[in-house]
Amino acid sequence: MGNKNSPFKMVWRQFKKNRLAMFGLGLFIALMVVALTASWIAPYGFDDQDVSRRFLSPCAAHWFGTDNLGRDIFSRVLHGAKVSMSVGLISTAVSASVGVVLGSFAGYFGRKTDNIIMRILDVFMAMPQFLMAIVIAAVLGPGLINCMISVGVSGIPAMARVARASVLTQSNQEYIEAARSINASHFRIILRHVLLNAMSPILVRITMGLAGAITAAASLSFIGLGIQPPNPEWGAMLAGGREYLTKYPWIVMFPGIAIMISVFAMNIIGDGLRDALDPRLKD
Amino acid sequence: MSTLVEVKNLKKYFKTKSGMLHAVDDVNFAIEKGETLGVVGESGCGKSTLGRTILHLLDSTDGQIFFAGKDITQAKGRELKRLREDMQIIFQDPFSSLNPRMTISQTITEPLKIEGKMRKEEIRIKVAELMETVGLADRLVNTYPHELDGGRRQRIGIARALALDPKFIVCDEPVSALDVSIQAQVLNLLLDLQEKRGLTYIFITHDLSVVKYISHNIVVMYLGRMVEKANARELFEKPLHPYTKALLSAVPVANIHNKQQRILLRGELSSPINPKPGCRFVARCIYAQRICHNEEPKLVELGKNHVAACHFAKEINQ
Amino acid sequence: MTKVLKVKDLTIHYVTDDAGTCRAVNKVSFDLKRGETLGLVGETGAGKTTIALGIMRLVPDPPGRIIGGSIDFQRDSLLEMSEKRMRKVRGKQISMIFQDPMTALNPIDTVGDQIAEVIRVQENVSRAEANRRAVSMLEMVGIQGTRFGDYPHQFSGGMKQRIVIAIALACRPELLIADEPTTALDVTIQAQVLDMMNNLKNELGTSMILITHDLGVVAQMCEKVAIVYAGEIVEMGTAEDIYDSTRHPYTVGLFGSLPSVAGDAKRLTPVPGMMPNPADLPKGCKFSPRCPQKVAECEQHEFALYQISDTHLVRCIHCGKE
Repeated sequence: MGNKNSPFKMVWRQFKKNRLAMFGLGLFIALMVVALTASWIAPYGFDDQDVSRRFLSPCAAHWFGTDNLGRDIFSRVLHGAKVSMSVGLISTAVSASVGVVLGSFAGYFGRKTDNIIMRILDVFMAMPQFLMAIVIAAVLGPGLINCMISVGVSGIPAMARVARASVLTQSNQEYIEAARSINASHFRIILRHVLLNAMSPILVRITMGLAGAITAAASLSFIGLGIQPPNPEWGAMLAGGREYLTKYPWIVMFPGIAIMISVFAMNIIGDGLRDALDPRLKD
Repeated sequence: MSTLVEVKNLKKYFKTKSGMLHAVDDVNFAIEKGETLGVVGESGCGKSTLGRTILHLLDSTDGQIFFAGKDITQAKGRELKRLREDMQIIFQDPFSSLNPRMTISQTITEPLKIEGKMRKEEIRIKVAELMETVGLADRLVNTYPHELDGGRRQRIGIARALALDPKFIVCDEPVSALDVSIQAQVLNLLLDLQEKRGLTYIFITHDLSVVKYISHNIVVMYLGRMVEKANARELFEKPLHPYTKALLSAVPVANIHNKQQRILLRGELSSPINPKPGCRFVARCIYAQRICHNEEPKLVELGKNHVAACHFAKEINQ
Repeated sequence: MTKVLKVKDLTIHYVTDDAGTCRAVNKVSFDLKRGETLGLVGETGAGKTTIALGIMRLVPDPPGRIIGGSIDFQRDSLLEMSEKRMRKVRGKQISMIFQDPMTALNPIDTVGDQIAEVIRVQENVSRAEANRRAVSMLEMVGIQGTRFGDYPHQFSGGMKQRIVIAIALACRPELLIADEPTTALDVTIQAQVLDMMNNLKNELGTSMILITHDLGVVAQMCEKVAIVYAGEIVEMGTAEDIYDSTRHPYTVGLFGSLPSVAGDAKRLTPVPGMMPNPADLPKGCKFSPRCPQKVAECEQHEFALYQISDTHLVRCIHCGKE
């Protein structure tokens, strides 16, 4: 099926025109590459300590300098990409899958189902997302997997809400009625008809959610509830370097910039997606 | 002549915050196989709701629906599935009635896929046949709705409705959104299909000239009630109900020498929510008397197969 | 009799990056006398709305641009006027009713205020005076003056349309352009509104351009008719010319597409095919690909409008030979 005018291809064409968005996409791809190849391209291991080479400012041997334990910050940032990306992607996958399912059921079936699901979610939404992540993390304890769970679960309500709203707008369209008239099952209608067309706001939310997840993971680790040392998570690196901020700022600076770049990239992609999705398909 | 579709005392009410909306209120008719029943009326008359209720896209509130002699009012599950293969619908809006992310062939293929009785290759052949039948060039097979104009999109809707070889099709304002010349093309297509396949139609529209062209019999609806039913020709030559007369006189005719006297109705449509007792048309009727406010007129046979619901039908038409 | 409007060789193009140049209107010319109603008839995409926007100088620029031609209103050239002066013309001397009346009214203003505002903006009168005139406009369109303080959502579709007409006529413009004013209305309401428009038009002496695809409405309202196809006028004349002596094959096809309310149901004879994409117009006569009377020359040359009677013009090779 090679129609160059498929809605997907049209969105991609529109997205390509947005230089900033393409730049963001490039950054994201670069981050993924770094995350995947960190073990190979990092000049040192993430936990190679050399107490004799502590607090070295950026130089030829250590591009980002060394930290309080003599570890190469550049290598730690690169490895950190792997941690941050995986936490970001997996927790977003969790919130997206559960959130979209809940939201679309609520939006499609309406009435009682909608009420029950949304009232439960309302309770969770009363808590700020990050606070909820803290609570879950406090209950589950620190660690990589638990971090993914807490960030993932705390993102479910927002995703569900977006999914529900989007599904609601589609549910009134006549082609849904048409699908019922040809005996399509609810399952088929939700998957093939409703969701496919309701995807736009959900996709945008997912990219924005990815940025939020990375930030949340970093924040959790910063306060000690997320990824534990010696794992090189950017937020944890920020926490570790806090006390040396004035004397050896590079310990904090580089992981901080890494977080910023990742979040920036996601947000830009999200914006670009939103713009590319909007006008085109409102024919 | 066998009756294919019959409807008795059909009612469809909606619960709203302000009260009970009488969308379809006590409608009765029978359609013979191979014929077209036109359902005509203005906004709020309930014609679209009627079509959807017969097809079980909406659940009826009361009354009975018969298909090929069988009572299908409560049809559910497998029975409904089987029924739907015989009863299909063509929608009004050629854009919103097609999934924007499905190509033409995917849209037409879907009902066959769901039915599950044909192999992939057989389905592909059938889809190609259907496209040819409705006049869609086969190079359009992988196009999306947004690439096509209203007329072509509507043809896709017709092909989809034909896919399961139904006997009965509800046409819900299928040409209202189309330009005049495309309208004519699609109307001719529908007529040809009826002739070739022996299809039975309910043709819902607000356009009187179109309904006359395509229908054998016509039902006029007002605020959920049937006010008149007759053979198409007779309805236009001898309208009995005051509303039908006003409706006919209001149609702008493409003839500059037709200086007919227009019957201009007073006022506006009353609300279909919690309707008052009495004739629904009383607020705008120039013949209204006391009884019209109090008693709902029944459909009375005033000619061969010609019924009208008006207390003074005989007197008005002396 | 003075001509209120003289449009000559109006050409409007839309230039976009992805769709190329859309030749929406090509050398359109027509006149309008005082008190006359011209029907601009055509199907979707013919360019009729663009012509109206051109007259009002409301063509979105970019991507639209008036490439050529002249529009003379009374004694002024509309295309050469400054935007400042044009603003004085719009709403006061030329008014337009757009296609969707349901969304033309501001939902948070009372209807009386919306009418009065137009009067205050265009004419230097006191608020009290403007309100008084607004009330009389409401009555003129058949709405009780006491409803001055009601909001648009309190009115039905037909009444909203009357209010839109009241706003348009509030300053007694010389020319009213109505773009499909009754398409969205029920037939019985349409009859009321058209009737009202006719009476008002006669009372106020307003000239009108009525854009529509409905030949029935045109028969009821217009003395003069122009048939628009692919950005050009293909036939123009008095109502009698067009209805009784139809000449252009497209116009014939239009009439052949209309099922009639009276008489027997003959099979409809529409023209096959569709109007061409204005970004990709065929060479020669724009209608030739679909024309049942096409000859070889039709695809090579474009034709001018031939005058076949005092009032009747047709753009067709078969009429030129007379």
